[in-house]
Amino acid sequence: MTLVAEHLTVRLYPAKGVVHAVDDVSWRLHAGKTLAIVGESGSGKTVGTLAPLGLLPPGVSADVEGSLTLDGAPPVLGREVGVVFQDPPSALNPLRRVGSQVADATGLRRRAARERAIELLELVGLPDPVRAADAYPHELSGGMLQRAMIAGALAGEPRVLIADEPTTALDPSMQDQVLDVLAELQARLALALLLITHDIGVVKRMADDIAVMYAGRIVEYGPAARLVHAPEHPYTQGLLAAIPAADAAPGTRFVGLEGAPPELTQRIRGCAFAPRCPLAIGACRTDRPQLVDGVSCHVRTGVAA
Amino acid sequence: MKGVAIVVGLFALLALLGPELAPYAPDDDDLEHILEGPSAAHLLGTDEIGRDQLSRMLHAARTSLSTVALVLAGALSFGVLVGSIAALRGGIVDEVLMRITDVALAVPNLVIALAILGFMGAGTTNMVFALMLAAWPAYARLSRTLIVQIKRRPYIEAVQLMGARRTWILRRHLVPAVLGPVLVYATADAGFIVVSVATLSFLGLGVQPPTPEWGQMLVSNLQFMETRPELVVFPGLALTLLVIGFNFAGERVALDRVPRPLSKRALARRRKEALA
Amino acid sequence: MNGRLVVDDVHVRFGDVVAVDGVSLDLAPGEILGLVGDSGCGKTTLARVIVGLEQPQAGRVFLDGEDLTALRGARRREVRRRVQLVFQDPESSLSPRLTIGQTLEEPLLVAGMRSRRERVKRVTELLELVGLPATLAGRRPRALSGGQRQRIGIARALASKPDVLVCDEPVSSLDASVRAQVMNVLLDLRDELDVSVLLIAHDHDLVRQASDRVLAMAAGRLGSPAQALQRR
Repeated sequence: MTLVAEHLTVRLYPAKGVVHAVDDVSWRLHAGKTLAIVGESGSGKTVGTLAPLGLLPPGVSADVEGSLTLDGAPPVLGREVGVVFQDPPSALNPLRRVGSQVADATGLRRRAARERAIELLELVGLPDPVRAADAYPHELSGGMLQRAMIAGALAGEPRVLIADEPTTALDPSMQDQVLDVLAELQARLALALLLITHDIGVVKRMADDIAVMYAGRIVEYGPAARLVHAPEHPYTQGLLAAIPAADAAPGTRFVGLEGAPPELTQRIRGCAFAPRCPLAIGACRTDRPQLVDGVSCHVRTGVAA
Repeated sequence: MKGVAIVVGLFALLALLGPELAPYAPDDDDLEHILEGPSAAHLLGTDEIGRDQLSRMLHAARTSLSTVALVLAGALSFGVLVGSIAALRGGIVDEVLMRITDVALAVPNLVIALAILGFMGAGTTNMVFALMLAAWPAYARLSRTLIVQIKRRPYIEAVQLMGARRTWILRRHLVPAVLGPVLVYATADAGFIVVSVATLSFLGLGVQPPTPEWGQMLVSNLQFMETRPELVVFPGLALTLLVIGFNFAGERVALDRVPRPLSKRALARRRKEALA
Repeated sequence: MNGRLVVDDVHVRFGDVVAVDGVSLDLAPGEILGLVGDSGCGKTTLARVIVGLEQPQAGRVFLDGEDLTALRGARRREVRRRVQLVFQDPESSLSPRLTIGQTLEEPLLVAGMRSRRERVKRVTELLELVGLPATLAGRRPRALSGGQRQRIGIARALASKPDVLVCDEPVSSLDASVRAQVMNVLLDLRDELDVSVLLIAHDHDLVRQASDRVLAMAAGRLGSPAQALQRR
């Protein structure tokens, strides 16, 4: 079983103009593996994954080109691909019990649906699934709600789970719980996990493969071990260097990148990172680099040296 | 916002220029030519004392629109003032003001206006006053709700931390923020007030003869409905158009605030632009 | 205790919920004091008490020996100005209606700076202080990146010439690669203006790197950071 994205391009049409949100993105994800798509806000990591599945914010018009296929056919949402969204409190109806909302996702009726919902809540490691099922969203902690959301996403027994910033809205202690649950479920159900996140910490812990996105493009793509320990793209390097180190001396300056990501209202001719890149050369501003051996960089691949 | 601007602009133009365009004075009677049908001299005919119907209609535009504008301006300022005080003071002040508002909102505006006019007596000024008193609670409610939402926003708190007084925050931040939604509501409300003015004048409580007003013209010509129907139809038509205009404009603005996907044609056009 | 800012046994309750349960701390001139804790531990409430957006049920806050919680009226507005807050979310902390220049001018106007020329000069200075070009003054918050907006938030706080800057999660809503820009601005300001900073955040590593001293907060009380780390 393989989920394949090929040449995905997404253009969004807001009230004015156009946003080239995702520009020619390809990746593949196999059963039992975790692919982390890493990027900062506006990098296209979420839109690029959800738009091909038909999940767009209400009122937004978009063009989606390229393909997202599961073993050659477009995946069926819910039955083949489950999605866990970022902010559990706003994804759940505050006026309905958690159990009945999970039950909705099962497609079963009455008793059967409730029993299945409780089973699912147990599967995601909620200590007292019956109580959790009868609770209203505000009665559960953020971590428990997120696990209930995962339970809902698993209701259709999908083979792929897409988790969009599953821990961003949670406290650090809760984040660990949710990541543990995801890792365990993946192992037990041989799920393919697509993790969309900005948090390098989450990526380091979970990913088999990493795709780093910047300004709608993949700048670096490869096995997690290589990317984390020997990143080759200057943006990936900057991103990793920006994590405050546990052993940094108090009072030392912080390391990060200068400037801000570009506007995507026009297609960028050269490398999108060039304006912020400490290594940029002439070709970086005029020619778009191609992904060669997992790195999309003129300087690194020596193409334009 | 464009729709509102066009409708309001058209009617404002009519109110401004209407009397100038009128071929006769509105109370210029001519007993030789009473209840005549449309002719070259009198395009819409004449009424029972020979006054030119077209001229009266054009003059009435100014009466109708200026009363509506006055009512709205008064109700809006007073309502926003009450709403701001309730939202900023909170506590018992808020409680008392909002209960008064709730009671006033529970009674139909026209009933309130009728009660006040019964007490004060008929007349244009009294009618404007009565309708203001009937219409302000909706603005108080709306602006209070909006201000309560906005006043806790960090950017307002930041202004508090600068040492700004409450009146400063109200004037520079809260009122401007509230004005947009309040004006949208006023656009929809305008249609209702037009009808109220006409109704009260129709009942003889509002604009008094001989001053022309569409509602009042409608009623005084009603007796000639069978012989000269255009004397009734045209004032009625003018009223209908005005109300529909305001309602469409209000609807339009309300819809514009909800995001919705582009139509197929618009999308195709935008796609072409994007790829050019 | 003595220091520029002294928080003395502050208690805050919301109904039955105890948010801050007897917190005392002090902050020396030019010091960066870190305060770490998970969300819901009361750290944001404590920040709001210190800047005066929340009134404590018990306890006091002193600035240079003057009890801030006892002040009223004009004197309160005057003194409160010297303790400023940098908000967590740079988007909602800037008015969408005002340009950056207008936003930065407002504290100057409130403080009674009459001359337009002086105000414009000061706005340019403030932008420079947080490492932004003067050309941004004509833009609206929408046209700025998250990091730029947060630096505007800091500049606005500085416009009131504060002695104490309370920063509540100043970088947690920013992207990792631009966090450093904002954190370095805070470090520079301490050096240049001798302003005291209370840095509140959940990220232990970040707080430790920036601070002279670190305290931890849990369930409304202060403890040592070691205990807090243990708990994780």
